Amino acid sequence: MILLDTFMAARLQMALSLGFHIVFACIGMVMPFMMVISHYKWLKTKDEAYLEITKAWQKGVAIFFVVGAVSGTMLSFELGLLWPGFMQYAGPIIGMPFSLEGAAFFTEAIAFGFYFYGWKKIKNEWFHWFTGVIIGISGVASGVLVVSANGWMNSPSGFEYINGEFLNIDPIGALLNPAWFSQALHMVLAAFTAVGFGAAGLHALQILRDKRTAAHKKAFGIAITLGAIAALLQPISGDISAKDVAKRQPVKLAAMEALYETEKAAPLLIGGIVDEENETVTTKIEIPGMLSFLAFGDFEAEVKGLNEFPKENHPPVAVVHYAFQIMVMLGGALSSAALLFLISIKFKSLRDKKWFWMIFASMAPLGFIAVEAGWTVTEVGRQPWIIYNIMRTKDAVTPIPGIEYSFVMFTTIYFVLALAIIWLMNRQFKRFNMANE
Amino acid sequence: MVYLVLAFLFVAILFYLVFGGADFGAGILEFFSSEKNKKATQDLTYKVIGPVWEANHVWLILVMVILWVGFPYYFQIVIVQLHIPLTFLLIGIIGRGTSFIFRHYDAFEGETSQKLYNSIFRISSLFTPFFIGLIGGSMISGNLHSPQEVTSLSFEEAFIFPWSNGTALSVGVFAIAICAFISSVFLIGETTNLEIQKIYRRRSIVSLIIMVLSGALVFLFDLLTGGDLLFSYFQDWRVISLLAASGILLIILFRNISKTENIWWVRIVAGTEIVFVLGAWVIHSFPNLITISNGNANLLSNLPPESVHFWLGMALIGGSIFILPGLYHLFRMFGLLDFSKHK
Repeated sequence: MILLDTFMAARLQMALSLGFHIVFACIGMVMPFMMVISHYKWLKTKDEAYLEITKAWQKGVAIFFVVGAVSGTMLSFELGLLWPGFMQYAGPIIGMPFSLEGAAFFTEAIAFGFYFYGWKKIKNEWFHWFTGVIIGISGVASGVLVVSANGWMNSPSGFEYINGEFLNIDPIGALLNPAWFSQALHMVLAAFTAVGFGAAGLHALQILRDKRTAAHKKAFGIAITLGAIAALLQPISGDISAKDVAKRQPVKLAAMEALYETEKAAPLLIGGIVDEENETVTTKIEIPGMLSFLAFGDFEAEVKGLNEFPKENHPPVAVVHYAFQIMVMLGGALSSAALLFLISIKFKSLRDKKWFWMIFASMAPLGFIAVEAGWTVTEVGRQPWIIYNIMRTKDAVTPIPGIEYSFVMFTTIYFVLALAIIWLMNRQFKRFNMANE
Repeated sequence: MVYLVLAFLFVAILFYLVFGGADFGAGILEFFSSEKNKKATQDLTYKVIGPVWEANHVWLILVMVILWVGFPYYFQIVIVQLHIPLTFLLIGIIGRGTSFIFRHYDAFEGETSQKLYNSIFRISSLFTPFFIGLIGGSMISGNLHSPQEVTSLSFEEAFIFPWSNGTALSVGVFAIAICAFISSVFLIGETTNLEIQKIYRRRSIVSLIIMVLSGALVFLFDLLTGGDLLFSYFQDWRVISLLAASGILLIILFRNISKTENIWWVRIVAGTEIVFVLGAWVIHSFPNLITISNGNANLLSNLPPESVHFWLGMALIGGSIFILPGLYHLFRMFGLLDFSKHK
């Protein structure tokens, strides 16, 4: 255990916990909507397949919801366990998003009770359906609120920082920090894309294997519709985010594009291998002026390079740059697939082709990888700060030694949980396919 | 406004203790049941607690959030020095939540897998409240330090001794007993099977005895280590009267649990007993809810500015308007508020 000190171990444990939780948080936001759309179709058409899909997805929601809930509980503790210096000052300031998130989570848990156990108990079937809608809405609300807290770390607001003290605290100002909207929009669309394509991909795989094709096609239709709409809207949100980051966190933007020197008409990089030591980027394709345009809406605009900022304030450039490239690339792939789906509405014969389903089956994990990459950009890109330009991450870490042991332990727990969930989901599909058409 | 926030804090702690406790207790009862009765308890647990179990545990999140937003100085003491038991608590929460859902929603009822879920569920049901109690006990055992002191202490002094003492351990056992007690008293009324009822009645008595004994141990250990917890409880007439009242309730409980047909009467007495015990602790200690090595940590000192409590209070009130009616209807719909049950 010499490789890791407490600081590095705490960062890794936090990253792991966030990376684990975000998958389930996304599913928890989106899958209830898939479930209630299918439920709606069942209520309207009385087509038994939709009822079956609803119930099958419900089991998925239950399993994912609880893993999301416990890993979220875990995170709420870890903020304090690992970063007490942060919570001491930030806790009161960002109390609003967290207390409102608590309320949203509570609402979600109550609606969960009604929906899951109410199939026979609730007389009015539309009221029962509606409790399912509330699960989805409160799930998205929770997500938006938590992202707002993260937005505050990127764009601290709602207080005055004078001589190392946080004064004139305004919790509402902190809640509505400048980054909350662009980040929350990007995250919600990302969740819908990832989960829509994820679920659609798994059902496409079943269609390829010719198991209960008719039912899986219905499930695919619901999932991909949500995923495709979100994937097509995401570039707009990405543009808003890019302009926002350019304005608020120029050093993060510079790291995303591995731009060391300030440039007018800065090019957009595609690919590129970063050499942090020599501050150079090789093996890249440049689109002239595009970065200036994307960041400021003007092909000639000046984009600040990393060297405008003191070295001790640079985030790790290579990681941020690669993560950004991965996110954008996968986002592009998903948007193209979304277009393919739209085309297939007009040209139905496409859906008889094997390659059509193979494309979607292979897309299943991409959205989630993009989400992880995106969070890497925003979190690593904020380093070395935990509160941007106010508090350094290393000043917030807990004084307790030996976090590396806790890191190893939680890594093991998350690994086992992940395996268990894959195994359980596989069993759910088997079960679904065993039923008669 | 700070008092409103405090009221929410104590209500959340109480509700977590009662609802979450009933929930933990069900797992504890399963743990201590014979093979044959395990299944009965398991089915009953699922039927009764399934719909509300998730909501029951959100109270803990609420407690956390109120503490870190409204009372960061306090939060700091607990979260840094009790890192180790809090970590075990988290492992318990993860194990319990996932195994509870897995055992129900697994698509196939495999024998080995169910066995695994069951044992994880039962063990973590025992484990989790123990650490909750241990953490609570650490706050009164007088081995915590002020945040400023921590950096000058050795690893053991700062991160081990605060919770590895008789007082804290006894509160851990006390917490297990409370959970088992609440749950068994509650479950008496949820089954019509007289044989099973009898078991729960017996379990209620046993857990009540353990509750009293471990409660006594808390004070005993404190006395042995030179504390004055016991005497300090008898200095305030409000605390004395609450303790006296809880003593009377205790006698009523012992006399009635094993035979009464009126289960709501027992439930209400049991609930009141818990409120009195918790109330005695709060009134006795407030506002010095944590005893630290060189005195007390005052909950009302080192507060964040008023605006923080104002908005926290607003969020809590706003949230309650949504949550409380929903929670009430949830409990009602699944028959948890059915006063006509007299079995």
